[in-house]
Amino acid sequence: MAKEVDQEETSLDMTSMIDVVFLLIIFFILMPPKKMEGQLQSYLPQDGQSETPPPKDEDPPPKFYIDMVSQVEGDKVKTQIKFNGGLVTTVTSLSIPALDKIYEMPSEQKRKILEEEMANDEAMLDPNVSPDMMKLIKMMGDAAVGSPENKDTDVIITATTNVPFKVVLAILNAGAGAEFKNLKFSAPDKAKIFAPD
Amino acid sequence: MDLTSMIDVCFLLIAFFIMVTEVSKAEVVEVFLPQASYAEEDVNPPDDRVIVNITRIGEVWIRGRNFGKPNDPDAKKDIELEFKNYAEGVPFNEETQASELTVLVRADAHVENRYVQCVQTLLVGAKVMKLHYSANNPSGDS
Repeated sequence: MAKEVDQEETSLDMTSMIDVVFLLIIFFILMPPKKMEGQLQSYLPQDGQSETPPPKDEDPPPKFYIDMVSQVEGDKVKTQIKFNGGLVTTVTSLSIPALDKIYEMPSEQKRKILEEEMANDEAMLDPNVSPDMMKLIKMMGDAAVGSPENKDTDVIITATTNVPFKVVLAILNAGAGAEFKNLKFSAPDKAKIFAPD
Repeated sequence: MDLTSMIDVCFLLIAFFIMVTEVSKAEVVEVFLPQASYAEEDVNPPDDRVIVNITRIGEVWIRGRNFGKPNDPDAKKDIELEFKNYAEGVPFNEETQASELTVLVRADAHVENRYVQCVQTLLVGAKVMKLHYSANNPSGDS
C-alpha cells in the first residue's frame, strides 16, 4: 500500500544575501590598503637607577652603547649616531620650526613634502636601504661575536632631548635587525626633560 | 520575498562597524608614525594594554583624553596618576620588581625625544619596564 507523501518544494531565496555580499566585496576591494602597524620592544631603566650605573665587580657593565646627539642648524637637525663611542653616521632631518611651517601649508603641499621626507628617512634610516645603518647592524653583530649569549647583552641607548623620535626608533629597529633582545634606554636627566618649553 | 538572510548580514555589518569605530576612537589618535622594517606584527595584544599617543607637538593622549604636554607640571601629575592607576590594576612581578602592565607608545616620527623621555620617566615611576613602540613597516612583512 503506497503512502502518499506531500512533496512540498522548498526553496531559499539567496538574491538579497548575494547582493549584500557583493557590496561587501566591492567595499573591501575599494578600501585603501592600510599600512601595517607593527611594533618594536625595548626596556626602561629601573626606578632609582642613576644616569650611568657604576660598574661593580659582580655586576659587569653592559658591553654596548649607542649614543645619539642632535644639533639644530636652521631648518635642519643633524644627529650623530655613535656605537661604543665611535661615530657611525650623521643623519639630517627637518627641525621643529621647519616642520611647524610645513604643517601650516595647504594639505596637498604638506603631503608632498612629508612624503619626500619619508623617502629621505628610508634612505638614511632603513637598514635594508642605507649602507650606514647596515654598517651599524654589522658592527653590533661583530661586537657580539664570541658567545651566543652576547646577543642577550644589554644595549644601552642614550639620546639627547632634541633628537627626533624617528631616529631613536631607527636605532631600536637596527637593534632588532641585529637580533639583540635587551635594548634598554638609559635614565635621562629629569631636570632637562621636564623643563618647561 | 525572504529577507531573513539579508537582515542577518546587515546586522552583522552594523555590529562590526560599531565595534571597530568605538575601539579606534577611544585608543588611537592620528599621528605620523615612523617607519621600521623590523617591526613585528601586533598580534593578540592583552585586553588591559594601555596605548599612549604622543603627537608631533608633544601632547599626550591616553584613552581619548588629551593630558597636554608631559613637561607641564599639572599634566605631569595627571599622567603620573593615570599610569599608577593602570599599573595597580595588573599583577606585580616580584622577580623583576616591575608591573606586568603592557604599554604601547604611538609617538609621532617628528616629535622631540624629550616628550617621549618624559613619558618613559613617568612609566618608570609606575614600575613599568617593558615598552612597545608603534611603527609602520614599509615592506608589510612581520
